Amino acid sequence: MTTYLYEKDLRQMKLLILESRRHDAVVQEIATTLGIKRQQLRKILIERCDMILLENLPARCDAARETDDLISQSLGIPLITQAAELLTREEGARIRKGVNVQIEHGVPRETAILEAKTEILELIRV
Amino acid sequence: MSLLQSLKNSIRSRSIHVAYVNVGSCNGCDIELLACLSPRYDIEQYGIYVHNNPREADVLLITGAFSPQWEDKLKPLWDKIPNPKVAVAIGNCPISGCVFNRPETLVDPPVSKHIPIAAEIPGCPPRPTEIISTILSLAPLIFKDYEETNR
Amino acid sequence: MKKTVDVSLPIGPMHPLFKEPCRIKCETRGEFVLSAEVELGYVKKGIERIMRGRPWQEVMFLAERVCGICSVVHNYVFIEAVENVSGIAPTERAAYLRVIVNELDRMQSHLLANYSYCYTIEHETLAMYLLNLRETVMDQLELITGARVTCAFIIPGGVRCDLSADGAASLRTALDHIDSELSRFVRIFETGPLIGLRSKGVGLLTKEAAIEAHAAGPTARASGIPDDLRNIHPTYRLLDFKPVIRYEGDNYARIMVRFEEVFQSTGLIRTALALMKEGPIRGGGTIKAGTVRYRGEAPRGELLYDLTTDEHGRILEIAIQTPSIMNIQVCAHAMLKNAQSAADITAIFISSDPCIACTER
Repeated sequence: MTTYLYEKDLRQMKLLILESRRHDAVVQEIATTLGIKRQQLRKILIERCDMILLENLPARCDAARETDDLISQSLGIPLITQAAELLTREEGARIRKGVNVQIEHGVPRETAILEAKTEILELIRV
Repeated sequence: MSLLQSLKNSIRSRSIHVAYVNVGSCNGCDIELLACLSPRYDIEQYGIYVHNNPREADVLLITGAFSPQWEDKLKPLWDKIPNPKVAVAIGNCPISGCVFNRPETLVDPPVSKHIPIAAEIPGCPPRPTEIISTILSLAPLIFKDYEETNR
Repeated sequence: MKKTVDVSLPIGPMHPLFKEPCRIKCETRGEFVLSAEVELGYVKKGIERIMRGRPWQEVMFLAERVCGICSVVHNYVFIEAVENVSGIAPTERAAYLRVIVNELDRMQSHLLANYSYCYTIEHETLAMYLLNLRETVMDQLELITGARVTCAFIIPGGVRCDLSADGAASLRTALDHIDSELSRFVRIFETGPLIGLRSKGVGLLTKEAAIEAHAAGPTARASGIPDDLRNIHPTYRLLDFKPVIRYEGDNYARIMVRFEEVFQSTGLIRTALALMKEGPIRGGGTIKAGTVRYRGEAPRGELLYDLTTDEHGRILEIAIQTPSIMNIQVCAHAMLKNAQSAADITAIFISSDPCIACTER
């Protein structure tokens, strides 16, 4: 938890940004891909992002969505790394590679993706 | 009236330092304020000097309908301005909230709840000439004989 | 964002160079800027919350007051979005009048942006020249629409008032005046050694970073992205529109793109005046229920209105995405990063033409 020395607590203002129609749709989309509640993702975003990045989240997601890699899409990696900057690109690529390796070793696709999701969640939790 | 006081009066009427603060306006009033700086209106010929520093200002121009972030910031800013000082509300927003004062809004007008306002210029936005004439007519009234009346 | 150093340089919310309050928090090592973040909330009014459930006649005026600098384009895009839902088309003369007023608005916005930049790098002479030239544009805007700012000129199916022959003549004179004066100012800007030192190679924005953040308008066009929504607008197509593009991606390129767009706007207005025929300026129609996502080109870039109306003409849901959101974000997270000097922070920030009122709504 961040402590505030002289700055005002900005969490309420950040929540107001996320309540807008387009922002809400994007948050819902990422939360569904990761399999967590919207409120949990909101909390993570509020802790990790500054206000201007939150405002720009829908536009950044629009720009990041243009990928044809199905596994990345089902994990929401472009949205988490490129748009919301919750993970670095390298971490995103590493997780993506890990899923590929597991599938090659005969692990079912769904199980591999589920494991990768848990890994992502552990990395972005605050 | 002492000689010193009359000297102060005449100098103060030709040297008005202005700071402006936007507490949640739509920018319309702010650009009309900026337009006052242009050579067409030329406020410096009246001795008005705009430099946005509250510690040197005499007149504080307020635009906007008071958004929540300013609650703990406008009062300290007003306290930083040395006496004699005066605050002028520009546009409808600091007076009533204008179109933003509706259910579900986040703003908290009027600004006079938070700091004392000496004059109000209604309009959405007011014309640059109205802003200049208000400052010019108000400042000498407030600053006249300040030391003798507030001894 | 994680802290990497323990010294941060806060700028704002009240700063002599900012027209509007916002807080930039920079982490610096010496003069070198490591990273920057922007905190907002100083002008948050909740316009989208107020708009919900209100008739379009009220929302029209609220939409205009999202931003006072580019009020015409907010009016324009909102009305076109509502027309799009209801299947209303403006009359031919009204379509040209809309373009004329929109381009005048773009000219004054660009001149104001360049004024702010010149003022920020302490070239006050050029700044004052530009601000005075802006008054010529404002006069024409007032002559046509009846107000300097927030004029509510565009209505569904047409425009509020016609342009008389006298008005057109005075507009032509003003355009000639602007062209001749501005070419002089642009020459000052291009050849000034001080301006070159403070602008060329400062605040670099790569094309990749611009695409990633969905940057728009002159900020994107200065980095070589040819996006301009006027390309696909039906009226602008008749006027033979071509976007202005530069490839340097620095402060200098952004300011020059705006200067060139002012010249382009005068050209567009002249063409529109020549093509315009006498005719009715109001069509009329009824607002119907529907959902639309409509984009238009504001002075600062792509403006998006995402709205749902019902059969009584009320706005049920609305989301506004203004170009300043993208541009400020890319400015804070890409341009300010690795800035060589703390003195360049304000210059880089102002060069992206930030409009906080748009950003927060």
